[in-house]
Amino acid sequence: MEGDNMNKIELLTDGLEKMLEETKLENKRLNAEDRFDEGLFQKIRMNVFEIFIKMVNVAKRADDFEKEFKGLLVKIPQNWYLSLEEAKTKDDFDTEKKELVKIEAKDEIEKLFGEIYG
Amino acid sequence: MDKKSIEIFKCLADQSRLNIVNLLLEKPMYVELLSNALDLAASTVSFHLKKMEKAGIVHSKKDQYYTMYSLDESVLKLPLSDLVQLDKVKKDSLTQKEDEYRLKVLKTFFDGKILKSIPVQRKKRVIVLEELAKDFTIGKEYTEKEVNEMILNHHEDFCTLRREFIMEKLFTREKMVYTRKK
Repeated sequence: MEGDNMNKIELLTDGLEKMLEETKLENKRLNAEDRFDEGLFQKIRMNVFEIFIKMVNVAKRADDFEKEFKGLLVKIPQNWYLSLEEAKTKDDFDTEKKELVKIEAKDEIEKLFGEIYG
Repeated sequence: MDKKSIEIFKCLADQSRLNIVNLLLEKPMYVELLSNALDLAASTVSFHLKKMEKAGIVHSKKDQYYTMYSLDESVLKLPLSDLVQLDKVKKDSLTQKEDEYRLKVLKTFFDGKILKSIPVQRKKRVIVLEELAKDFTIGKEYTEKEVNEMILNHHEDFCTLRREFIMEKLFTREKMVYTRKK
């Protein structure tokens, strides 16, 4: 059972690192194509993946990794949702898009987590 | 250059937004159509369009179900020279800053009519030379001796200053005759 859990954590870490690497490449490609704002969105995604790679290590210290990581997936983006709503009311499309990018990256992580932990 | 011009340049310095401009040159379009044509997420296209709308490059008009975007051709047809021109307030403020700097340099290097030292920094040296050149009448011809004497009223190193007058193109020299340029 313990071994199975370790295997799942490894899968999650590998998946997150793969997402990070792909995003880094995409960031480079977009900047090279002079698509700077889209490049910036990829940079924002990179930050999200880096945060959750660190969170894997945080959750590893807890008794129940699955519960802890799931909790972090809810807790960390709370402010992103608040900021998104605020941006919508203020018609601040720049912040709105950036918060959306963060939330979408988080959704991808959540999907990966769901696939591994079922 | 006013703030709006900078916004327009910043906005157009992006390949995706230039692609959008090119598509909108053909006809007005809504987000989903552009999103399909450019293979970009609708939220990304929407972001670009809002940025372009803020810069005044496109307008939006709500249709029954969609928001249609079209180019503001009056902005696109503006000559580049109009876009890069400084607005009057900025121009005045720049001139004022230059004047203040000039006065500060003159105050530092002159003690009344006497030039205390020749500035090493070129920008400051030119200001000092321009001040010295005011003694000379534009277009009038001077002998080297006359130039030396007039410089001597301010500083003993007339050789350097006379040479600098020529190097900075404040005077022309032909057959030992010096003429103050405009």
